[in-house]
Amino acid sequence: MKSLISCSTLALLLLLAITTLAGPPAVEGYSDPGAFRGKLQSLAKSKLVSYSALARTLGGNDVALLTVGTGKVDTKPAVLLVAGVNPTRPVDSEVLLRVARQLVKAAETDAEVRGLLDRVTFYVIAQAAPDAAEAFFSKPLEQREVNLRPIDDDIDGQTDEDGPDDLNGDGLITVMRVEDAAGKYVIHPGDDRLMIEADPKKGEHGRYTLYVEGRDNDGDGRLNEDPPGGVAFDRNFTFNYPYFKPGAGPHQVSEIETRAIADFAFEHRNIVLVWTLSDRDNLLDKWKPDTTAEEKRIKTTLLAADAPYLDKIAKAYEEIRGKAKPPKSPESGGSFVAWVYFHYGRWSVATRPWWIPKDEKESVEPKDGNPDDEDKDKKEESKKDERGAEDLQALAWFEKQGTEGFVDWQALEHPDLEGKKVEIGGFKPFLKDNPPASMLDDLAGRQYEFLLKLAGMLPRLKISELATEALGADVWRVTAAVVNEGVLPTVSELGRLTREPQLLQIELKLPAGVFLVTGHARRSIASLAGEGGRAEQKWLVRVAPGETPTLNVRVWSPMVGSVTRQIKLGEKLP
Amino acid sequence: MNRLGLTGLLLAICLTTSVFAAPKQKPYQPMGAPSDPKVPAQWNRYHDYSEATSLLKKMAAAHPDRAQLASLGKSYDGREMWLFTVTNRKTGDDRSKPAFWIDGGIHANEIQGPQVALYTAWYLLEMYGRHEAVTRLVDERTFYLLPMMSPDSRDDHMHRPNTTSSPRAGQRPVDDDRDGLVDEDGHDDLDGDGHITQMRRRDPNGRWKIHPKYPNLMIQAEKDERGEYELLGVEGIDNDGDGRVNEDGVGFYDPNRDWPRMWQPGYVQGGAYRYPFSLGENRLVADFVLDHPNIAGAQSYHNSGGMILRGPGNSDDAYSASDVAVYDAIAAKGTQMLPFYDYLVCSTGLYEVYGGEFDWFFGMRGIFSFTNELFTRENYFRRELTDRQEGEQQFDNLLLLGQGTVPWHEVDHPQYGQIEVGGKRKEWGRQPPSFLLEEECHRNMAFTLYHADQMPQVAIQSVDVKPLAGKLVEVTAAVVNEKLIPTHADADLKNKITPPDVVSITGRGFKIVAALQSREPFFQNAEEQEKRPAEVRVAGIPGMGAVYVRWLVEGPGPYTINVQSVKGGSAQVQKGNISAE
Repeated sequence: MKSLISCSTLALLLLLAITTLAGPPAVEGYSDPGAFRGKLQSLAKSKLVSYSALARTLGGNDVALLTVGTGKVDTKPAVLLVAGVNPTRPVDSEVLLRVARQLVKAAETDAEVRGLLDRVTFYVIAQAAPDAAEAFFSKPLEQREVNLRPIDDDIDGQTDEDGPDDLNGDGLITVMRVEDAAGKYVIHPGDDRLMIEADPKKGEHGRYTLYVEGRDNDGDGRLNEDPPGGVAFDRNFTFNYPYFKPGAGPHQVSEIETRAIADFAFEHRNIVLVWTLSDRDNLLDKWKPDTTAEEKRIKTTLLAADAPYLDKIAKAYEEIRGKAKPPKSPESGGSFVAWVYFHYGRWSVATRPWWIPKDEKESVEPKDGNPDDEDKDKKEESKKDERGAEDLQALAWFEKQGTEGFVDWQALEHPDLEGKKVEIGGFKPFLKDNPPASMLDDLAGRQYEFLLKLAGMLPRLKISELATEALGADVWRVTAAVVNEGVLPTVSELGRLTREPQLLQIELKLPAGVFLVTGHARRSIASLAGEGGRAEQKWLVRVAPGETPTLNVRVWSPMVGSVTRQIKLGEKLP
Repeated sequence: MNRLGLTGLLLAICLTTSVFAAPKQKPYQPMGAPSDPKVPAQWNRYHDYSEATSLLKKMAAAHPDRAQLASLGKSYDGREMWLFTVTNRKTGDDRSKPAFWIDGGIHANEIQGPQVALYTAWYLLEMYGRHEAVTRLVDERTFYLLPMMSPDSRDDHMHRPNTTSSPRAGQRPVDDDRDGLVDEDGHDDLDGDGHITQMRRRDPNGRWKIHPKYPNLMIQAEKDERGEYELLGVEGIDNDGDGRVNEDGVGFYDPNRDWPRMWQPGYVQGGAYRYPFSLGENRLVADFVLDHPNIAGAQSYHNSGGMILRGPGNSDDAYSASDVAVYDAIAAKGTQMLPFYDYLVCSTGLYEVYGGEFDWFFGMRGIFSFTNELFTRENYFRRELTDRQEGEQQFDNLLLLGQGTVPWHEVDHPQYGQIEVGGKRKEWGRQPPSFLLEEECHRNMAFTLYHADQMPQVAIQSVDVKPLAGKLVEVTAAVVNEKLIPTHADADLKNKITPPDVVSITGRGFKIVAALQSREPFFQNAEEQEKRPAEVRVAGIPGMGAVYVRWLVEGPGPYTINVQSVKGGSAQVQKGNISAE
């Protein structure tokens, strides 16, 4: 086993290697982490924006935060926007950057947007895992989602010693298919470029084994079993954490990036909702409640009480985005999006800004979607052989766009697989997940539109009634009612359960000379439902003989905001 | 001066000395701790942070070859997280040997835990060279001791008003009642005596009365009997005027619900903080343990109740039969060494815990680990108590001469008016009194030393060199684990936590033809290792078990056989050139 010193030396060398081998982006027009940071910083020239670094990563990048708002930003209800949790998709970061830019621009000219910023603060973390995002600029280009933490994947005492290699020298890490009577894969009957898993039920026998392009660098008989890095941001959170699975890391929230963002979230009790742009979508591919699963102590499904509210958000999104069926969200545990709802106790909204469209109708062009067609498609699809369907769409889409997205299979003499027929080819890294840069503005436009809609749905307090009643002998009863006029409740049911968010407080301010006869000036309110949820509080107070002072009632919590109303004893308020 | 003269003078000096000063008598040494240690220490008392710090520094200075003091970093309030390493560095550095982790006081009020850790460090150092068993352990093993896992709250317990049960958390502020005010309503020492006791109020409608035999003890009135008092909980006032008393004190979080294995958030597991290792003190420990894969055994000291606990902490997790057999064998010795201690599985014997420390040590690091709940009331009279509370009162009366209790006395309470406070002093209840403390330390240490001695230790039992036809030679090594604990727990193998043990052959004058390994000496079901045959990777050597490795080589040698185990140490044997033999 290597000593730790040599392991860390190796890690250092690896860091150097990665930083020095920067190439052009996988898709032209995307910004590398350095340039991306520059763009975020230049946004901060606006008086409405500030830039800060939540942490410095192992690779020396900032985990950058933009705060967009007016006045005392941290004391207002806030929405946290996050992208880059799956760093193989810089599209999400690019879109969020543009959303932020549009928000700032609009706030400078549009009174309504400016008004929104007076009420709500937006925290923007556009590139959650900047080190991992550098893979988009790697040379050779390799689709990698982990950060730089050295991990001994094959527990042989050496770290990161056997990663992929660009054997055919085309600057890309693609796939090797190796003829193998015991293999699991066969060539797609409809397109001989694609590989699909053999189905024994159909009488198929596998003929190929697939490997990532590379050699057995350490001579242990295995190919690419200990690649550089690392930990995947979106598998490092606490909900349904994938213990011991690749990319999960040594334990939950183990990474500089994940920890910086989790700590920021916990330290900001004013965050009411987190919106994440990634390959997970819970609006078009909605989370479903399950009343049986919900009975259990550990909650693993959207609570039925929260479902109607997520439906409302989803409806708003559909109206803007158009009804569509995104690719299935990854099922891996430890995701950021699930953590937000299940453990952080805040509303978690997840959208996928882009995917390769299934057909003409669903293409980038607007708001389509006849629900009947969708259902029909669904039924037919379930009968069809689904294997390779998404790949076929990708090939068709590349062709239409004139993108050379596929490397044709070519035979190669593989030094570690002597006597075997080896071919290298397959999809070029990243192209299936990231559209041409020319599409980014349009994608961002729709997400921005949704952001404004979403911000309008946040809970909003109003002290709807405030009354005083003389009981005699200078004793008064003060009654206050507070209603929530927003679409969302003051806290989600799961948020209430997690006991993470602060409770709504209602307080009667007692000026000098006013005393409570009984009870307490300040009380907690568990939650107010959306669209009219109401709570009432009464106090008995005693005042100096004959006096009718003015009293203040305040209702507040960091994530809902604050309202105050005053009344003079005996006064009638409308 | 001539030679004779010098000798004469020396003789004269010697005689003079022997006449006027008797040669220094060796003190009479009892069994157990030495009477004349290099670092004097008193083991019937508790050390606060600065006293413990000073003791650790003295031990490190007095035993420079075998002790080392380092800080892993700082606690929330800025105290050092002292890590004390004991091993004989002349027989190899700390990382080269199987290592045992010992910690205490993660729940700071459980103050005897750190005392056991301090005693263990001291005993190992002071008995080194005096007694063979200790000498061997310090030569062969490394001990990493972190006596104070929660040093801020240890000082809080000792120097601020508290109960025997507070504080369990560290000092990080937490808004327990989620009203936006933080730690605004903790307990209050109404009578200023440094003890947080109970409050009672005379009330004709109360349901409590004074015990007829033990006036300090409150008991419930019979169902058909009128009571005399109501009980109002622990000493405190409603500091924030929200109608509740003591609902938001320092903390609250539980540092022993902060570990990654089966971690669940606070609504499932009370006391869980934000995410695993969101408590900085624990994170320092985790980083250290992750960086020292040679740690092969672990022990945490808590109080109370007399228990040797192992995981799993909850019924969603399970250990394999062979891992359980190892635990059972060690614990069986423990229950003998620790009278009235029960060996329990936490989830079934005590309560369900998600995110406990031992579950991480075992479930995610493959390290066999126990948590001992120190001190049991059976120790009051060395028998089972028929009535726990009365037994305590008897012990207080007879052996503490009444010192354990603050008698009820009147105080003014801003909300309740005239009330009385009284009850147990904070030093009594969960902690042993002075005369039982040293015994508690020694017995628990002895159990832990047994566990430490059973950590895996690899050895090469034999190397047989057998010439076959022509230049072909068969080299067979029997590699054994001389101890009870396997080099890899089942949980370790299943989750691929620790690299395999490697048995390698090096030397000159030969070429390897093939490498085989077998679980039995006849190689009837041998496995060939095709790649890198010089380094045979063995999935683990069971406790008291063996693995046999055979190389077919071409050439006369010499051969050097080496075994390297991350958790089980290493060994090496050289075999000379066979033609020369």
